[in-house]
This record gives sequence, C-alpha cells and structure tokens, in this order.
Amino acid sequence: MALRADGISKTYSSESGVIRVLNHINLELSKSDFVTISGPSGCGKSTLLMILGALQEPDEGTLEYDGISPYELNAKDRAQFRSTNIGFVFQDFNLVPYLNVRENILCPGIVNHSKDWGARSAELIESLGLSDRVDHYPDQLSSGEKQRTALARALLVEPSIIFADEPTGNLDQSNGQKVLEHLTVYANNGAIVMMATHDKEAFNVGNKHLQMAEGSVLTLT
Amino acid sequence: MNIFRIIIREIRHSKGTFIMGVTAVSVSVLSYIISLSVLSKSQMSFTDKMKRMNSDLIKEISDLENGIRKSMKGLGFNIHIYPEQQDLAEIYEQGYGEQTMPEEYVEKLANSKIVTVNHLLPRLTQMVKWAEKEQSVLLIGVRGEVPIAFRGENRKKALIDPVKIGDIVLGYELHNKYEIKLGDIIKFMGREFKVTATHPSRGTIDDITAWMALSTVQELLKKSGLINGILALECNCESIDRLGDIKKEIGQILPGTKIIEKESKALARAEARNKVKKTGEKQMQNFALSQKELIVSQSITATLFVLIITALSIGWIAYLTFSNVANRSVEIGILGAMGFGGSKLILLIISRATLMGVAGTLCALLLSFLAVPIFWGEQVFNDIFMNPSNLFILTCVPTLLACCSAWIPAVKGALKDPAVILRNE
Repeated sequence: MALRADGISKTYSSESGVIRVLNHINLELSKSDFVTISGPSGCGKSTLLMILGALQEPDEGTLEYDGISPYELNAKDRAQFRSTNIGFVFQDFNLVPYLNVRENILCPGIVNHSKDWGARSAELIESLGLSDRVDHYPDQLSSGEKQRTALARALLVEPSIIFADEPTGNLDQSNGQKVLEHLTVYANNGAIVMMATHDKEAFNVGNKHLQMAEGSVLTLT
Repeated sequence: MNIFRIIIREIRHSKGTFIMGVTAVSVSVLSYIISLSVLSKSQMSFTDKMKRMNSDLIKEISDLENGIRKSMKGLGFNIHIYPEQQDLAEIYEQGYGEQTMPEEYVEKLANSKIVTVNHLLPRLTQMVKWAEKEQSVLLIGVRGEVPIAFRGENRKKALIDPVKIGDIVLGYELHNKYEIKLGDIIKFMGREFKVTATHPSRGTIDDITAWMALSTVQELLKKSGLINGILALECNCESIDRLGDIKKEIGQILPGTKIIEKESKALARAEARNKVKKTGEKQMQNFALSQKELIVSQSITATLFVLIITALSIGWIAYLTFSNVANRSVEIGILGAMGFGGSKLILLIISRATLMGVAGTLCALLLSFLAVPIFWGEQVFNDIFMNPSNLFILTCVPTLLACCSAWIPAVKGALKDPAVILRNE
C-alpha cells in the first residue's frame, strides 16, 4: 500500500485564537518505509499522525491510500477502513483497563472479521515476550509490557500502516529498544511505519526522517 | 473475543456503579408493584365491604319482612267494606257513605269460610240533627261483633261490646257540653235512651258521635235491614300484598262491594321496612361513593409516587451513564481508532444500561414474589402477576426506560471524535 498526502493543512481554534497546526504537508510513502518524525512539542507531529491515520479530517489537502481517499468515505466505511489497514500505538499505551493482555490484543479482531485472530495473537504474544502475562490486566503490567501489549494490539490485524506516537516516550531504554526492533521488523516486512518521537536514537531507527517545525516539513531525508 | 465479552468485563470492572443502577431500577419497579398491591388490596377490601354491607342489608330487610309478616299475622289490620256504588270521596270527606247495602251481607260473610278476617262489625252511620239540643251528631248504629260461624269454639274473642237497645254511648262533646252523666235518661230524636257510657275527649269526630244499637238506628233513620259499612278487624294475611288477597277472598263471597284499608300498625311497619331499605341503600351508595373517591385519590398518589421514583431512576441511570462514558473516554477513543463504528460504541454503552434494567427488574420481581404474598396475600399477587398488561409493564418497560435514559449519553459518547479524545490524552 502507498500513501499520498497533498497539501494537508489543519487549524485549531482556541481561546487565544486560531492556531495553524499543519501547513501544506506533502508526503508520499510506500511499502517498507519507516518514517520517523521529529520536532518540538506542538509542531504538529501528533496531528499529522491522526490525519494520516484517517482519524481527523484535515481542513485542506487530500489523502489517498492506493487511490482510496478515506475522508471521502462515510464514518462507518472509514472506521472499517481503519480496522483493516491502520494500527495505532500511543505513548500512554491506552489499553482497556478491564481486559487482560490477550483480550486487549484481540480487540481489533472484534471489528475485523477477515479471519480468526487466535493464532495471530498467540504468535504476537510469543514474539513480544508476553506469554507469562496473557491473563494479566494492564494495572498488573510494567510500562514495557503495556507498550508491547499495545504494539501487539496494533499489529494483530496486520495493518498496512502503523502510526506510533512517541511509543518509547514512557519506556526505559531496553523496552524502548524492543519496541523499535519490532516496528523495524514490521516495516521490513512490507508495511509503512510512521513514528513521532523526541528521542534522537529512535529518530535514527527509521529509513526516512522527517523534521517538522511549526506545522511544516523542514526536511525529509 | 466479542463485544459482549467487553460489556461483561466492563460491568465486572465497575460493578459499584452498575449495582447502583440496578438498585435504581429495582426501586422503581418495586414502587410500581407496591402501588399496585396497595391499590389492589384497597379495591378488594372495598368490594368485600360492599358485599358484606349488601348481605347485611338484605338480611336486615328480610328480618324486617319476617317481622312484618308476624306482626300482620298477630296484629292484623283493618278494612272497611262498602257498597260497590259508594263514592269513596264522600267517605273521605264526611267519614261515612250515604250508600247502603243489606245487613245480611255481614251474615253471608260470617257464614262463609273466610280465613283472612277475624272480626266483622256491621254499622249504619249518618250525621243527624239532635233536635232536642240543636246539635249535630254523628249517629252510629252498631250491632256488636258478628261471629264467624265456621270457626266455632276457636273463634277469636269479640273486640267490641254491642250497645243494647235503649242504651246510648256519647262522645265527649255531647256529654260534656250538656252536662250529661252516666245513667242519665236523655231524649234523642223523640225517643228516650239511657246513657251507659261516655267517652273522654279524643280530639276527633268521635267527640260528637253517639253510638246506639244497629236496629234502633235503622228505625230512627228508616233504613230497616240496611247498613252502610262493615268494619273488618284484625285481618290476617302473611303476604305483603295483603289487601289484594283479602279483596280477592271477600270479592268471591260478596260481589258488589268495595274494600279500603284502614290505617294500621302493620302498615306503618311496612313503611318502616321500606324506609330501612331506602336508608340502607342510600348508606351503601354513600359508602361506595366515598370509597371510590378514596381509591381515585390513592391511585393519583400512587401514580405520582411511581412517576417520581421512575423519573429519579431514569435521571440516576442517565447520570451513571454520563459518568461511565466520561470515565471511559480514552477507551472509547482507542476503540474508535481501531475501527469501532458509532453503532458498536452505542451498543457497548447502552448494553450496560440495558443489563441494569434487566438485572434490576429481575431483582425487583424476585423480591416481589417473596414479599407480595406475605404482605398483601395470594389474591393480590395473582391480580398483579397473572395480568398480561402488568406483566408486560413489569418485564419490558423498566429495561426500555433504562435503555432510553442511557440513549443520550451513549450517543454523545459514541459521537465524540476519537482524535480529539486521544490528542487531549
């Protein structure tokens, strides 16, 4: 799957006035691109991930995935599109507190019925080192385990694109490294991974590096 | 993994608020059942009281009727037998009739096998002028009682003693005004009579009445062998329509007569019975009216009570759902990001309220099944739970209301932009 964004702009209204968060962003990504995004806080990294992840409609610009424009779909179809093609990983993990590790990982399978996800979840649990934690609840897990659970959940339905918003922000180096390794492997297997990060080491992991400031792309190397 | 597992897990996770919701539904359903029970019991008590009052009244009237029959049998009542051509208006106007009938009528009646009459008193009555005193006098010729032949030795004792020939009995005004005393010999219509009795003042026409032997009066009035009335005393009849029965019997013996009833104690008792019946019926009507008003007032109070409790429950469940949605905003956001559509998110939220409704209803029904027969009895229990419309209201409405109360918070929660939620997070 290839991603193409043209002239993406976004403004937010706040008490202090209108803030232009993204300013005519153009991007073209293809299979196995692991894009790391860096920039100061408030430069629009998270908003860019939300817009590219078909979660938040831009004020201007177009977004296409292999000719499909998610923002031209109705809400139901767009949700279906996300459930099939997109995975999210957040800095705060955002696990469902009353579901155990296995159930959290299996959650996306509720809306994606393309196959029985049991084997896939077992494989992810194994590969992410969560085998002895499958029946544990989020409040019984360490930060690293939580993030690996969140990563497994994002990878369950084998989406074409993973958006990771500072996935290592709350992790120690060792756990951060593990997460980055998995994302790299996943990208190498043909998916697109976009990761926003403040961590220089993590920034260097990707094969494409996007530097942002004040809603614009400074460099893309 | 499916959506219902998420719902059940979430309920297990936040069982405190879930139990509060269940309690609200239970209280609401119980308030409805309690109101129904109280109203049903009132209605039953009212119906029982009405039945009891009705049977008491019927018994009272029946007792009274029996009493009347007995008193009629014991006391009898009195009738006047007049010639058929006699104008009754004349009798009511002057106290006697001008028309006459043969004296032998009374013999005929006495010799018949009449059973409804005990005493027969033939009389000839006329208003005359006591020329010697320039005084109007109601002259009554009486023969004394004519014994009823077929009864023989069993006949009843005579009620009135006859006035002998040559004797006269005077009313108060006649002896008092002219200072006549017992044993005095007075002249009346050219003949001399011995005063054998004087009556005290009665304040009626009796005060200007003079009683003589029937044959004497017939001679004085030149109406030999004639009478103008027969007074029949202590007539027996057990039925309420006694006059009809007597008329029938006398009519067969003496065709060409007419009969009127003289006021009697038995008649007064019959009237009393009617009064008792009317009063009883009126009392029952008043009681029924007051009870109905009471039941209407109870119904209004119960309805208001149930409505208030239900409104509070709806508000409480809505609040709990709002609070639940607020607490789960990140979860809702992440599920939305994963591709859960609005309808699935609404289902996720509203199912919780639906289960509150179901669980609350079940708890209330269970409690009611135990408590209603104990506090209000089996009949009230059957009235409530064997009634299809009540069953529908009790089983479906609470759950529907719980769903409805959660609808707005569920929709608001499901329609929240996941991007906004996750960005704020």
